[in-house]
Amino acid sequence: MPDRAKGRRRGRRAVLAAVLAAVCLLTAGCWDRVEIQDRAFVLAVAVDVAEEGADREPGRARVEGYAHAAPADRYRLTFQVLRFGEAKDGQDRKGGGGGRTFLVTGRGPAMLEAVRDALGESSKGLWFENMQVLILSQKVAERHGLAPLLDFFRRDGEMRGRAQLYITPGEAAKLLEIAPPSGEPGGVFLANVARRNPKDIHLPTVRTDISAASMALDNKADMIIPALEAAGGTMKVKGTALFKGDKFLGYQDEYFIRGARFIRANEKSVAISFECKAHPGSAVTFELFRHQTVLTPHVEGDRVRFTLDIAMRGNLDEIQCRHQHDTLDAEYFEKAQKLVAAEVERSIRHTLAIAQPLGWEMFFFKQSLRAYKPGDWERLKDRWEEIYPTVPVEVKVRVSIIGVGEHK
Amino acid sequence: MGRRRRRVGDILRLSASIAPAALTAAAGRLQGLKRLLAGSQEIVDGLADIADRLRKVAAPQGEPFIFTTALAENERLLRQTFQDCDDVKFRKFTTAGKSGLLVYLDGMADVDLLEKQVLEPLLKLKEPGQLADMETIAGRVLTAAAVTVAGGAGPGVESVLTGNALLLVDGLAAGMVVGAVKHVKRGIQEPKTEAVARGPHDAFTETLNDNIVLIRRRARDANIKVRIFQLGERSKTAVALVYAADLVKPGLVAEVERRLSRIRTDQVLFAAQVEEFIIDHPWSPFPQTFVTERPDSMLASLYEGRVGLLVDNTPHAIVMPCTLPSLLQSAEDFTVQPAVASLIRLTRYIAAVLGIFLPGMYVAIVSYNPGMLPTSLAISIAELRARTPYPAFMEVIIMEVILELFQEAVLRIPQKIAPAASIVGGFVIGTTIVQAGLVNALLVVATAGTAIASYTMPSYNLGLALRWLRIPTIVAAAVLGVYGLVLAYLAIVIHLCSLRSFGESFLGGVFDVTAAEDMQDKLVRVPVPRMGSRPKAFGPQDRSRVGD
Repeated sequence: MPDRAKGRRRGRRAVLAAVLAAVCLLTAGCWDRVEIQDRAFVLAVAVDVAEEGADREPGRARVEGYAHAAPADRYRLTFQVLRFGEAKDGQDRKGGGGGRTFLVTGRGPAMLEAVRDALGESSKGLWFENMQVLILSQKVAERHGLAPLLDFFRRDGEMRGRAQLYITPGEAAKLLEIAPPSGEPGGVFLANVARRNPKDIHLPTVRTDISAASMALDNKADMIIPALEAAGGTMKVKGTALFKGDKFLGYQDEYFIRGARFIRANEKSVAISFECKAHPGSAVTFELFRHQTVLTPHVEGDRVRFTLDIAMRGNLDEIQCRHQHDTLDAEYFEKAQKLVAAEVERSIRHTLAIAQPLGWEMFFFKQSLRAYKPGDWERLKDRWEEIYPTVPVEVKVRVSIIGVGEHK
Repeated sequence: MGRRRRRVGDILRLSASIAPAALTAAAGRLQGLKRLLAGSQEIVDGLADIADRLRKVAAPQGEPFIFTTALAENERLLRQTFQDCDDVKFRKFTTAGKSGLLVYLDGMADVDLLEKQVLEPLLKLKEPGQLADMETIAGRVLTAAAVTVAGGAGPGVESVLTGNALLLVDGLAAGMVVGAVKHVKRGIQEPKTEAVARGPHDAFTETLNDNIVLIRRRARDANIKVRIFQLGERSKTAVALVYAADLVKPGLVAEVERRLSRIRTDQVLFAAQVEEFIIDHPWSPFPQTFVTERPDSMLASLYEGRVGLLVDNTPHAIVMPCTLPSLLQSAEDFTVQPAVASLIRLTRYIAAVLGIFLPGMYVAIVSYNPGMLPTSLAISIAELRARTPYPAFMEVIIMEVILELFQEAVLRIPQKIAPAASIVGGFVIGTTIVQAGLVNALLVVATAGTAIASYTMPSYNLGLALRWLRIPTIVAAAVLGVYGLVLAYLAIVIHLCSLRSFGESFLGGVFDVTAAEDMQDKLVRVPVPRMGSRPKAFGPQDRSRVGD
């Protein structure tokens, strides 16, 4: 029976292989098993300069941080960590970070060092895969620039590019202490605010997460980061910070953002109000819902200019005048369309008047010149920084009101 | 040395107490007894020799004996064969001056038929000339339809055990088998596991002949061949091989016959026993034959070029070769609208995958890769898990053990207390185990989902295979996380790719571009008018269903 003997030998070998595999797996497997409840969910991270808070609570500053050789501490990182099992108790505001979260803090010469320092305050390992928000303080952004601040979050394997970026004029850690009224954990609340951006006038309607900032840094492009302000126990997205490369330029308001959104043609729905000529002080509001913008570069010798042709469609949504106008009247209709167009143009001019002298550009001027006039771009690209601040832009806006609402 | 001497001394002292004359007399009597024993042993051997020789002379190879012309001798031999079989009846009678004997099994033979069509004509017979030989009796005397002349005693005895009657007449060295099988059997009932809302409601039963009839009634086609074998050296169970001669892949029938002929066993009680003898990979968890209790499913399979096997006493037919897509088909698919059927098919495929991987996915994601979850879900799972003390693996094992216990319990207990068990298992354990914090609610949902998914399989054995595969998958996920899950998936796919059922790919050629037409009845089911070709996977001789 040679066949049977061979079969038995093969069977024995298979059993041996299975035993070996089982032994290997059971002894060497499970090496990175950390149960979901044994991870400290970091929902938000606030980055401040190292000395922040040291004057307010000197004792605490001694606890945060640890002895190490040079270089000196650069950052103070505050982590907002989810607290389990209090899902029903959103109103509870005891402790540092509201009902559903608590804060741990670390200092270090680099971000990872600060993370390791913060472990001293946490019973579980900090886990960043669900990090929602990264808040930078203005001070730290001014002092170090954006690139070093984002480097850790771009390189580390646990980080996710979808985490939203915010900047705040004051201390970033303060914002993590505020419990949102919705009962959501603070980080989740802030991320949802940024994701709900198409109709939010405070937001620039472009992606402002870590991966978008990362791309802009790599492309040496300018960028915009929404600003966050804390006041009276609440926080609000208010205006934006402009960055040229990784350099902080300053804050701009919602009116600037709206003009930028008109130029970029990336809003979903914007309310545009103009003052009624017949009733001074009363607003007439137009709701834009379709938008087409054509940006065309023109080059004559060394002279560059752009034309911006904008076509908008929308409804008259609200008239605040005491004595109502007949919105179906052709004359009024025509006039309203022109007034909306004038308001749009004014808004665009306002934005350009601020952005051009700063040399800040997120309007596709450079890209359209490179795409449509590649020869001229090759000739002019070295001088683009000089050309842009004074380049003339002709704005033509046409508005079609297609609905006046249910009430005429 | 000293010890031994003392012993000898003891014996000497013992013999010294008995008279020497008595000792001599006892020795003589012992000798006589020994001689007697030797002699009787010789007699025993001699008798055994004679008996052996007698047996050899009286019967050819494989037969208990041969019929002689003396009825009394035949009766004696038959009574010897059926010794202690009190259900065998011997009816003696006289016909035209000769004695006759009718042997039948009580309860298995139709006594009415024997009375009217065998005994009555024979008892009324006056002319001895019509008893000249068995052929004449069959042709002129008996009115029964099924009669055959049994030359040897072996077939005669077997036919009595099958339920036929054996007729013997004095002066004839042959028996006649009168077909009179009539025994208790279950009537044809609705399918137990493959019921359809709109379609035939008859299912196979335990009786082989009835099952063959159910197939024959559906196809007036002489190309449907039925070949009956016997399996089991003692039980001699009838097995019918059924196929469509002009469709079946050349060589397949011969291969099935070859595998059947290799079966060495004493008894065949279930079709599943035959199945384990003839499949290619008996250790694989996957069922490698298509099993159905529906005659229409069986016939549809035959017309795809497959071979069917009906085993007496089992109401389920075995169909070969078998492919995974065919296991995921159900008769119901062909009685509902094609669009609906296609959606149900897709659901079934998804259920098959979930049935294996859902608990493993839970373990892998909760213990290793929670970053794959959306944040809100990750938070709610973490909050649920924060109250349970065990790691996810232990939690899943607890839940699986409870599920398996529950399934076994429901199978075993009497029907009347099954609802009570459902309440205890489903409500009491299901709810309180979560409240007790042993497992979390999400896992209960996942485990229940897995169980439900495996119950949706049209093939019960495929459902069992999914249940089995779940355990190694959970272990792989517990040891290596999502990576382990992927390894388990690869192992299953490789195993499926390497499985062969009677030479055909178990996956049914899903990767075979030349078999693209087979897709009309795999993931989806196209309308019947568009189902113009037989699946290539089974290698039918003629692939076109119309215009033969």
